[in-house]
Amino acid sequence: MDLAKIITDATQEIFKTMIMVEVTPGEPTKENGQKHYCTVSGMVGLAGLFKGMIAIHAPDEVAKSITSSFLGMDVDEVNEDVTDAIGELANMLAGNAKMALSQNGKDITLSIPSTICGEEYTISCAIDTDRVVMPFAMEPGKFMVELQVEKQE
Amino acid sequence: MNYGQIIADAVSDVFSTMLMMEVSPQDACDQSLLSIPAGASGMLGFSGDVAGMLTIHCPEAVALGITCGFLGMEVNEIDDDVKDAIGELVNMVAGGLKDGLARQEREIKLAIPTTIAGRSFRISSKSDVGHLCLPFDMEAGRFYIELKYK
Repeated sequence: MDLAKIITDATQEIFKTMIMVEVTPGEPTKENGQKHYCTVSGMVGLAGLFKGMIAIHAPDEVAKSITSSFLGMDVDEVNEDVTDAIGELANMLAGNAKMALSQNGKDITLSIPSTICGEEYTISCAIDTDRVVMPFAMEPGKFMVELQVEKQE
Repeated sequence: MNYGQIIADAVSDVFSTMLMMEVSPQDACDQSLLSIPAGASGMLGFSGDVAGMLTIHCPEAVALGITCGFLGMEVNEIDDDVKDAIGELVNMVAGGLKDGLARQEREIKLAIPTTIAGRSFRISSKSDVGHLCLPFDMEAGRFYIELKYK
């Protein structure tokens, strides 16, 4: 299963339709638990046929710009609007990715989204997973989308 | 649905059988946004009859104490062992939550555990979800279990 393609397709589609922005994918990596500095991360769990998580990591400046486009208003600081928007974005990415992971998204359900933000943190999966971290470039800077699924036998 | 009791039972069970440690549950607090200065949080999403997120927030000293209990060795900083231990802990507590809900005929499925570690971060959810925050005291200090659901 091509996790990088699933992530790329989902991210490009959501950004095009919801944020009206074209994003350019970079080279995928398989890093687990990279360090995030002054970043907002939205995360959603996947359960059922595939167990996993999908997360988007946007540096503060990028997160504010995404929120501005999303909500159609100016955003000056990382406030509740920003954390809600990034959480909702993770939710939409997960909804899109689950359709690609199983036919029609059957047998995969989503948890509720959660948002992490702060000066310096890592997010790592505590079990062995198949994973991909895709960087994307857009106007104010780069962001990353990460998909981790429990290793399949 | 008394989520608080299910979680308190699950936590006591995990700590007494896996860590041989005593914990005492405290009164639920209504903090909707916890800010952890330095530490590790284990987080696990679930879905099914109820969808939500279970998080354990441990200040550094507590995260080290719990890891020490799991591994039977001293740890001095939040390293990969600590991240694994806190992830495993949330996994076990979520297992208890799943069993507790199953006894009340609600089925949930678990996602995978992740650990967030760092200095100065906060975790939030949209305000339109049900929310419960339970503090627990142990020898190394106080930790919090947070349940968000809808």
